[in-house]
Amino acid sequence: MTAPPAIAVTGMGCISAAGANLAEHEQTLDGRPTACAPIPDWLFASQLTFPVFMARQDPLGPMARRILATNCLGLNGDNVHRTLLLALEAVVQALDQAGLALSDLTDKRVGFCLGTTVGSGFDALPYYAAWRQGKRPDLAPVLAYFHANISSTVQALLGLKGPVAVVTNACASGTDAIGLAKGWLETDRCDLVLAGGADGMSRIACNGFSSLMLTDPEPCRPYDVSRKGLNLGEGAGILCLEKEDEARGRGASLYGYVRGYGAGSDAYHPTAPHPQGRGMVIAITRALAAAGKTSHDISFINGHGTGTSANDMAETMALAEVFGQRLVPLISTKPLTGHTLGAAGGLEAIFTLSALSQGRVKGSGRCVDIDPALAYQPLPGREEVGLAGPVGISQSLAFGGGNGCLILEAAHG
Amino acid sequence: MANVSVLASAMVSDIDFSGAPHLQGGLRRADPFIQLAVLAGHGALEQSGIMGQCQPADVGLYVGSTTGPLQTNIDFLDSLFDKGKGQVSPTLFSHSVNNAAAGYVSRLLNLQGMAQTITLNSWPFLAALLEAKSALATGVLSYALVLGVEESCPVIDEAAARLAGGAVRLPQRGAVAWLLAAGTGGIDLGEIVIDEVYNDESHLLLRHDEIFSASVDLSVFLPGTLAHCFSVTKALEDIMAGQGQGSWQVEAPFGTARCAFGAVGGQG
Repeated sequence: MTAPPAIAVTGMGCISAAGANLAEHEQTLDGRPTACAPIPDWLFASQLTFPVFMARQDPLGPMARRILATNCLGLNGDNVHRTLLLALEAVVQALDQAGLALSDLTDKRVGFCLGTTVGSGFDALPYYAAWRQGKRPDLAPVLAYFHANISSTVQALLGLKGPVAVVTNACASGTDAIGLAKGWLETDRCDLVLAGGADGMSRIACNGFSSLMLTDPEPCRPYDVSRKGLNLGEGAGILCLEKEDEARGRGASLYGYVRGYGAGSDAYHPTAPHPQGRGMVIAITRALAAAGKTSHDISFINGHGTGTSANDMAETMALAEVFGQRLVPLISTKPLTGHTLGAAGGLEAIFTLSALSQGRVKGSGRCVDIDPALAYQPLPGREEVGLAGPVGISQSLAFGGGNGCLILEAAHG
Repeated sequence: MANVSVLASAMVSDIDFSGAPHLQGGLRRADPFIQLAVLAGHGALEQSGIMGQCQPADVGLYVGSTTGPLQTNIDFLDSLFDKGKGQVSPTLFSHSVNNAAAGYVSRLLNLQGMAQTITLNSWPFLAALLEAKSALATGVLSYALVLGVEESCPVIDEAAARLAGGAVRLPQRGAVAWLLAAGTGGIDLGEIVIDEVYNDESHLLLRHDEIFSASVDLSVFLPGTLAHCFSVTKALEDIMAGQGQGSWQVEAPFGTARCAFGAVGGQG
């Protein structure tokens, strides 16, 4: 059996509370503060008091705005989901960074493998409020729901053709989407893939996580002994993936590689992770095997690190199982973005590649007193360390017991 | 790329625990979408006879759906309206997430390999099959349980009826499950191609224009998102019974798709 082709990252697009583009996200990773504040009135009125991490009110940059304004699909800023706007902006950024104009792609098979959570739900509350009272409002919100599939719709907005899928694995969606996209290229289903995740802030998620009593009334503190839960966030993080030889052939700059992907299921509980991180151990182990690496090759771990008690305990149990006593710098970037659900895996893959490229990383924000009960010790917020090599892990856990792990390598680490 | 074959399949359109009473307790709080998924998955696994002969981590799970548990999503909105913000049902919320069914199937059938839920407007069951086939052919998994699950939702059914000028759409729900294995031993699963074309949402809502190659009585299911699940599964079962053709395909305004089959045991 021939070895699969190396999968290169040639572009990265991102938008979240941590910034409107890659440069701003890198600055945030380096210490630039981000805002964590109550749900803004411009999004929806709410009595929920916990803080959230919002991207800018208008997510679209000039190029994405022009694409939306000139589309022939009848879509505009008023009839598409916020998740789709975030995804469109990040995709446009990723293609731009990859040095690819849309005209370069007309004869290419351009796959879209994007993850989301709330982006797949029906949240047209005014429509449904009227409907359940027996009224029959205009069907526009229902029709909009059918073009809320972010992969199909963003691909159509850009006028591109190729395979599409939306991965809806809750909080692991973005990580799993990148992993599946790697397989698409390895099996030659397309020439390049836009892969990652997007999720806009939603009433459903805000009320749902509140009902589960998983939200922290203050800015989140993953791995800290005083942590009380997560803060929701929104955003999109998208990678442009290509086979390395084809990317080099067109003279593209390479930012890194997706070396391996693995996933595993806890098979334990609808919402709580397995206490020993059973599925996460499977995911990490398989990702390392797929990459042809061992735990000794890993220099950095970007954990899921939501700040809930159960997540941080299970995740560190899994890391202790795989890494033993060997301490690799472990951080969570959720203090920078909040928990962006389906977008998290995409944004965190980008943060991981950025840190690996820089060869150093700061500890988790607001992690002051590490919880001594954690089985694997993270890097405290006050510390900054150099990384021993260019290969790292970005991992996600999800409702339903899903776990995903990516092995990423910086091109110039 | 290694061969991939289909060992077993199941179709479920009613929630009936008579064949699996041991599952009923674990599904007490689950919605119909989840129950259908578990029952179909259990049916295919039972028929395949693989459980007990493989490690749980070597069995993956792939779920395809167009809208996921949409009625549970709507029930959550009811909870939001009726109980007020901050007082909604946590169970409804966790079950409204698209991969809730995958979580239940993994747990109740003890599958610890990767679990992927794919949402697609056109033919998500085929997309799930394609991902599973790829994982098996490249050695990532030994077995994969692949589900197509759809649930009726009155909000959408009413919208479809209005869009169709008043024609009533029969409520429909159901699930299909295929158990795939790396290597031979069942029906060889050949090339799967999905070419989705972005189209007017009304076609996706009504699905009046899907034309299937396999001759099968779909009057109970058509038109709707379940049709492709049942149609391709019927085509598979015909081949298993030595009666079918070597391929299945569908055409619609929103694209085309096809699935090829080989002979039993990879002899064809």
